[in-house]
Amino acid sequence: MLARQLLRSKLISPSTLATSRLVTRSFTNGLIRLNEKKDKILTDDILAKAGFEEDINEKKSETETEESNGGEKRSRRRRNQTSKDKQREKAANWFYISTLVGTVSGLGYLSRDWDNEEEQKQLEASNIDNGYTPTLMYERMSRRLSSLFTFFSEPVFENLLPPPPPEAYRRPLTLVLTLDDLLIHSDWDTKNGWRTGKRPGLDYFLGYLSQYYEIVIFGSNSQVFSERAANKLDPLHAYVSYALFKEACRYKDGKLIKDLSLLNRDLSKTVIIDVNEDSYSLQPENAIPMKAWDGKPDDKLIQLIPFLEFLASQNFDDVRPVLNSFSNKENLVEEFQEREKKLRAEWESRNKHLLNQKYNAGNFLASLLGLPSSSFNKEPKMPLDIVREHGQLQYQHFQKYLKENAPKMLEEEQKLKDEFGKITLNKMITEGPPSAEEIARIQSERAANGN
Amino acid sequence: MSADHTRDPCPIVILNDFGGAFSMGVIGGCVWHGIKGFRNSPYGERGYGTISAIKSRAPVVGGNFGVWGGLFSTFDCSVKAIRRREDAWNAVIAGFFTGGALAIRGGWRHTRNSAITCACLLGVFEGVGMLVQRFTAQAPIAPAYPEDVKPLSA
Repeated sequence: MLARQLLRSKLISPSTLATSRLVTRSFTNGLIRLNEKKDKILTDDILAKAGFEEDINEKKSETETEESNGGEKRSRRRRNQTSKDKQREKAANWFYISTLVGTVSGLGYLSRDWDNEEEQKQLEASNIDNGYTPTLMYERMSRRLSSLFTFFSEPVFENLLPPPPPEAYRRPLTLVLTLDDLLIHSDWDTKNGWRTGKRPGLDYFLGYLSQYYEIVIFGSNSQVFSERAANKLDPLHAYVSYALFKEACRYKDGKLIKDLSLLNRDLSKTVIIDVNEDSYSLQPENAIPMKAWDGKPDDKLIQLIPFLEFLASQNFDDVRPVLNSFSNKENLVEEFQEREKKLRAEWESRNKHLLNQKYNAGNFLASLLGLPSSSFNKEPKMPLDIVREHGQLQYQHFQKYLKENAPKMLEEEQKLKDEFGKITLNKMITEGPPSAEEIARIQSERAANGN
Repeated sequence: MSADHTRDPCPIVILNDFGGAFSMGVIGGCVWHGIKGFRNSPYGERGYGTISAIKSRAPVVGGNFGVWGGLFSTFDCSVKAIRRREDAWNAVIAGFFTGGALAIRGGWRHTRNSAITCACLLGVFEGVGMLVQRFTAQAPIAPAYPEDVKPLSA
């Protein structure tokens, strides 16, 4: 043993091996004890670290015991392991065992009886009873296990939007628009990097329809990435009522689903326009599908306006049957134009007497005063046109109002931001960010004091 | 297209990630090996020891980081291209392959363990990221409606 150790450590050369062996044999017990001490000084560990694991002696012994059995080989292999290796292996084994035990006991815990009926209801498992039969245990376990993962795929908020506004402020319908590739489009090239563009007619689309619709932007990307773009579309917060993002979507089977039933709005008064059919797969009857906009100039948004205006101004009890009366919703615009043409022709044929009325009091008065006949006598109009004219007039008024008040509104917003945007980290951690209700309360208090 | 406009789209982002990770490694390596070189040098030679330790070691750390970042980004892009989905599993799968690929010379046991460890680590990162995102998401709030005033439009 000593000889081997010495050899291993290259303290002596192989040529002196024979003599050292003789010496070992002739040593007394006490000296052997000394040898053991020596053993401890040059442990396998140190040798392994110094790179003496495979040395000449090993090779020698290999040739000596060429015809030895497998058992001896195994023992040699065990010798090759350093104490550190053994320790590590032991730790690894403990880790594996504890992982296994942890997994089994965790799964066992998940397969326990329902804590209460509420839990059962929440997991939609009213058909799975309490009791410890394998199938029931497995069912409970799988339900609970999947609920652990659905935590991340469910929308963050239970009600995506606050309750509808009071009657006086309510628009007839709610319009849910996706952001990317419907309203804006982002492109990347090596020269300019990312660039985002607004779709032609977007400002008019939002501005005009905001008088008929409560417009909700429901983006498919995270709030962090899209919020600024959404804010920029409507810096005065005059058109878009709310903006929701990916956090409000449900993620299921790789599909991002926008569940309109969580919107806190009447589904019969809600329209969603989206470029991805997965988004509205839960309520396809509420949807107007659109093709993704590729960034090239088009007028698809503007072309949609007449139909949306028609939909909002006709006071339908339920918009879904109207939407689904179109044979192919992809061609909704063309089909609606066709229908409108038909409607117009029918109205004209039915109201010929109005159109052909040349002699009436207005015309007579105008001719007396030498004015064009249209100044006293309004041309008869189809109801749809009247609605349109009214809408356009109102749009112009609203634009004028915005133009006059924009600086003031922006200034107020900035003031608000300055006041509530500053928050110490300490307060943020201990109390959390100020809630919107809090800010609203402070504001209303201040307004009351000011008046 | 990716939504994150602070990052380039897929094939090019690999280069960005490689460079970013490399410089991160170099900077961190400078600090680490600078201190180490300083402490391990004899008095009077500390400045020189620091410099030489940084010169010899920091680029290696940078290279290690860079290889990790570049490989991870490559796998991430590949996984995205194959799955055609954008979720947290992309990073976990990419981490699995990265850990495995970097350990492949250590034998298959080492490869397996390293891949699983790396995947777990990235799973934790992604999970924490998603939790933060969930908790910082703000629900939209209703504007304060004045009670007796007529609305401006409609």
